[in-house]
Amino acid sequence: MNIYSIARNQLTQLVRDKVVASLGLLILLLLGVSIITGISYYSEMSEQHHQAEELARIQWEKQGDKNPHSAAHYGTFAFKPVTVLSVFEPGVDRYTGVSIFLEGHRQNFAAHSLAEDKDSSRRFAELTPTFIFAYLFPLFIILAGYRSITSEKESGMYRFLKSQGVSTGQLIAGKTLGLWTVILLIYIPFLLIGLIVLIITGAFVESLAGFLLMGIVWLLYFGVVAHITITVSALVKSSGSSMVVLLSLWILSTLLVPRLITNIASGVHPVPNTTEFYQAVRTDLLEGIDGHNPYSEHSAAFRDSVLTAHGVDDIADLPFNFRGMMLQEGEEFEKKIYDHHFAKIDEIHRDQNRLFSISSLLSPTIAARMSSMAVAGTDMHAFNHFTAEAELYRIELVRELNMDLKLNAVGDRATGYTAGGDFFARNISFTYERPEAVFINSAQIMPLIISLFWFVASILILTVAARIKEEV
Amino acid sequence: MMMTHIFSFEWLHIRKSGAFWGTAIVLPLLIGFSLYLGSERTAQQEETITQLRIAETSFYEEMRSQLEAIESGDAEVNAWFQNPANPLVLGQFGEAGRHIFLEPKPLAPLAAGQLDILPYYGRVTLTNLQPLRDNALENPFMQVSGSFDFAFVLVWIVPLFIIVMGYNVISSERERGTYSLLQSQPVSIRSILVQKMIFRFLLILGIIILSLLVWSALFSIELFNIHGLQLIGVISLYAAFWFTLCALFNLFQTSSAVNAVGLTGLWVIFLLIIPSIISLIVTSLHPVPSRALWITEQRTIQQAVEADGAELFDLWVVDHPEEFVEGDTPQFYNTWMRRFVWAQTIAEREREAERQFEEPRERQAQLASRLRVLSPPMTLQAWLERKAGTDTARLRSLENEMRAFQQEWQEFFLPRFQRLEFFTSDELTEIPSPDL
Repeated sequence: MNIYSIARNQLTQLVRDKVVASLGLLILLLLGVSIITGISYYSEMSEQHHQAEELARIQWEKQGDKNPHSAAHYGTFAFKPVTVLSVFEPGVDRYTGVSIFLEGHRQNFAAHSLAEDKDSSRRFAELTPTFIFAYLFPLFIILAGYRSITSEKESGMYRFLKSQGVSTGQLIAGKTLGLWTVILLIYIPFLLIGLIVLIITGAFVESLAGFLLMGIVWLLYFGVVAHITITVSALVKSSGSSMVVLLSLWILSTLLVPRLITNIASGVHPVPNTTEFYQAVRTDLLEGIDGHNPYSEHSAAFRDSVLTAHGVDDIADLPFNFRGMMLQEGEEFEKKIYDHHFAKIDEIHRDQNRLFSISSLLSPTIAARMSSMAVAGTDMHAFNHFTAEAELYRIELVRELNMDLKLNAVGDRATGYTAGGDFFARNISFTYERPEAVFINSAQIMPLIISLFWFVASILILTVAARIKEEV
Repeated sequence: MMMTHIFSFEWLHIRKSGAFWGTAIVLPLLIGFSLYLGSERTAQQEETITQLRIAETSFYEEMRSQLEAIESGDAEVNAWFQNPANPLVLGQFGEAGRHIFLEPKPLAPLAAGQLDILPYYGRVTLTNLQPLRDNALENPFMQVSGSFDFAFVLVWIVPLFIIVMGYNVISSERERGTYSLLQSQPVSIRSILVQKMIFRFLLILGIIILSLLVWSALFSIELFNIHGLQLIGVISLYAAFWFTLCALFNLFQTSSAVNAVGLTGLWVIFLLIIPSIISLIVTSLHPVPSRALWITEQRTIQQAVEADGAELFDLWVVDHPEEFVEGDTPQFYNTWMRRFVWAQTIAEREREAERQFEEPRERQAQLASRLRVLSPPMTLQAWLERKAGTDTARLRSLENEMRAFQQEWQEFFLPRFQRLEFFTSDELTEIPSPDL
């Protein structure tokens, strides 16, 4: 009973506290604005992406009569999907390219990130729910809770309550409950607005699970902040030092550790620069078949082996178009080389991400951000999934083109062979779809576990603090 | 006299405080680490530039020695696309072409700026302008959290140390009960406050500048020049701004806790709220369209040029009869003459279409630079990036520099190609270079 009256009392105090109340309202307001602008931005972007996707396909189909291999050079595009969850958690979205150019012979990077076209003031802070949750909300919780125990000590109420038979444990439990209530007072409206947004945008079914998981991730994070706030308030002597300690923790978790660890990670696991990367690829490519250069050593060897296998002396006597065959052979070799080099980059990214995960043991903010990006499908893994799918599509499309050349450019059609619009219209098309509503692989599970760990640990710390104070 | 008195008492007082020693230890370490990362970053940039220059020089030297061998009859030309006398081989194919660099400025190690997003070098050939995005392989999570550079320590972290040092200068006197003692002194509280603040200001400034100078010397960042002087001036102003805010809070009869909350609130407003609102206003007022559509637009331009290719070329020949050799010319000549005309047309039309991005981007930048005055931290960040040469405007200028150089490159090679006049080995020393 005591606990509830303490909680109710705490709640009344907080609601009446002008600073806390106005900050709470400010956060709600900012959340509202960020969602509204986020939605309009999202609908604009997805509209443009749909248009672009359709246009790209039309351009492919209407490219006119052409040698299929010229079409492979002409290429087409894959467009990164825009998800409604990016309104709440943009993740790495702004920094990854919006499209990939798919062509024969090479794998390209995704190009044209949104960040390139935006003003740099955005890098200070961008008004999105995730920014508010990661930075401002913890400050709000600290502000609402830093005095919760210290003020009782300073005003002498602490002794009074003790004499009334209230244990420190009960006091702490009551204060924690009060703080949680305040958090939920702001957070539940946000969740409701979020659900409405999902319904309005028609993405309810596919985004619900991700949204709810994201909601839980942030709630765990707020819990961690709230528990630490109460713990510090219970352990230190004055409200002033409680504030200073909590702010230092906030700076460490939100500002210092994330920036330090990302910069350390890029030093410990450096990524080669683009020029080095392409040089390495080029060196390896020289080791194999160049589909365009029949004079190269490897190509000549391949030609001879094909001639021998079919028992003829001249490629003109082969039952199929040799160039088409050689281009495909070269393509498969090139793919192997690219895959190998991209896999190395992936490995480096994985090592870096592992470091981030470890560092989130020092910073609950990193744990929460990485987790929320993972469940919202806006982290690097989600992006990699898209690029992998686009690559699968590319290689299949190029194969179709080379096969057409190989099988149809024979006999008197061999010279000046072209495929027509009906062939290009029949070519495989690409629309990216996420495999499941929420898909998380083993590499992404780590931050989620650490988020949970933080939550449990913060409760433990709180209990231990209560025990310590009880004994004093 | 009074001043030295207060200063010496302040020193006695402050050297017992944990906040001071925390600042005196942590701040130099943070500054040192940020400068270390910065100097590494700049060194890497310089290394990349040197490597590419060496590769470029050795390519043209190789071409020259091949050509000399051919001229003296020691070697033969296997295929036209391997002939080092051919303008296409020298200006367009393979490793031919030049790199254009935005070289790191002297203060580059201080601020990473937009280097993780925008390229600082690119490659130019007769038809291509290719900005090289080293960041394309970078883990995007890095870009999300941002660089740990000196600018970050100064703009974000230093104010927090100042707040810790200055939030309770007078209020703690009141809370400890020594306030009435101060009041009984023959000096006004206000002047005591000002002098206490000045003392702390000088102390922090000393810590920052000393560590800046020591670490810079260690990482060979040149600061003993006009730029270094300006930097120190700006740091002083920024520190003074935050100390003034602290002093103002101490003037009111508020408690230390309220001061701490209020000053942190101001920090949040200046560094988080105002910037986020500015970026919101800027991007909503001048939205930049998606690049997804731009890509298809580019393609439409290419298709249109391709469809009208023959006609375009005929028109061009009518306009430039002296620039095209008709008759019995090699096939590559006819192919590439057409390609150059088409590439030119495509480039012109794309420039036109690129405006839809450039214009809102410029308007965003203008508006942002006007709104920035609302937040001294943003102003300082912008100043530091400009000084370091890592700001958006400078990095965007790369494309213009590349375009200007391409002009020069084309003017050197194209007339020769149009007349089908191949180069002699002596002429290879005259190939344009952006460094000259």
